[in-house]
Amino acid sequence: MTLRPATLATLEHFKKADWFVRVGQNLVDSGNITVPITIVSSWAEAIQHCQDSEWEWLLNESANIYRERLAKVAQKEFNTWNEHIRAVKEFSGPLVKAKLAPVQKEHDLPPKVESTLRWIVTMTLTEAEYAHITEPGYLTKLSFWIVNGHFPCDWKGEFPNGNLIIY
Amino acid sequence: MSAGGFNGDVNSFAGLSAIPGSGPNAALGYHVLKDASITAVASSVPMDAAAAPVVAAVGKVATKIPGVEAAMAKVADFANSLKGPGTPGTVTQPYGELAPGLSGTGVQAHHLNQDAAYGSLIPKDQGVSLPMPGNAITDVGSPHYDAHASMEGFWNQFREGGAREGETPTNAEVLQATNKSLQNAGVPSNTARQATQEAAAQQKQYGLQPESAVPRVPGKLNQVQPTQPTAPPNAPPVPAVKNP
Repeated sequence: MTLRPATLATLEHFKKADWFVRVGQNLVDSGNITVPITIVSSWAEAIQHCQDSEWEWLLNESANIYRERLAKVAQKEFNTWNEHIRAVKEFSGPLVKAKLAPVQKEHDLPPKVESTLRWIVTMTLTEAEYAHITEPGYLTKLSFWIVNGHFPCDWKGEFPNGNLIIY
Repeated sequence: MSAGGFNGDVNSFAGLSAIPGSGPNAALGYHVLKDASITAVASSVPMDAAAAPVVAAVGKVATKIPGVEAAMAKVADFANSLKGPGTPGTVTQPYGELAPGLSGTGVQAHHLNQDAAYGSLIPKDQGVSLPMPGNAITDVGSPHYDAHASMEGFWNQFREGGAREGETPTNAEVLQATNKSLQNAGVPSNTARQATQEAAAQQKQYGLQPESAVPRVPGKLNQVQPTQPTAPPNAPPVPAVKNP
């Protein structure tokens, strides 16, 4: 399966971005973001947060909400979801591994960090595959933090109220 | 800007700039879902006073022990006695009819089309259900716990870190896993098969095709894990195994 132009463009942004260059730093450019952000100051804290079951729930539920929306407007196209997922995973898995390698070596990060990033990037690319049908979901929005050098790692509070935790 | 272009503005990422109201603060519509099949159901329906202790006893003993199938059969008999006129020839009941009569018995109504997966497609109270002894989260080794543990193994494939990470199953795959989970819980194979067929019929009734993808992958159930057996304080050390 050939990836759509929007997906390839999104993939390029991921590739060109300098991942993790702003971890632990205050926001330089928060754009039009008004959601409360809490910044943690170490990998140890970030790791602890990203292993939180509530964060795992949020990431899974975000994918569920997006897929429900997609299935509602285009069940036939949604039935090819797995083909799109498998196609983008050929890129997302190696990309995350490569981007993570330098910090992985330095900080001995657990597999959970890689799987969290892989989930967000894979879903973002898959949402781009369907961008001609419906708008991308929350996981695409979380990718903003990755390409801006941070690591989104938790949410505290009952969504959508509460704080996004980033490193 | 090209499709999916990114200029540092969060709304521009992956083509979001063209979508009004799709910024990072747009409401996600996040639902805090609870698996209905593990929720205690308050009942206003009086239970047959003679039958209640039997069912309670079955609920306590129906673990992975010899005779579990007999215990399950007693539960099924009791469930049938609750059905009244019901639908002849079926082994399942709508959750809304089954659950109230089970309150306080130690037996819970178990959705076959799991509510956490199908709750937005099949109304919770209409969901075909079987009576299952035990609490799905805490009663380790009970039929209800085992049925969900089996389904958790199935859903884990599609969750973060799973073999089919990010994919979703078809309705037919879910039904196959459901049949297996019932048998893993000690339900006799012919009953499991019939119950699964009734779940399939309900899917069809709500317009769900066997080959269609399922949008929702339930969040982890976080079942209590079986405790590892511990050696008594003065037990001799276990000899090391050489060349296993």
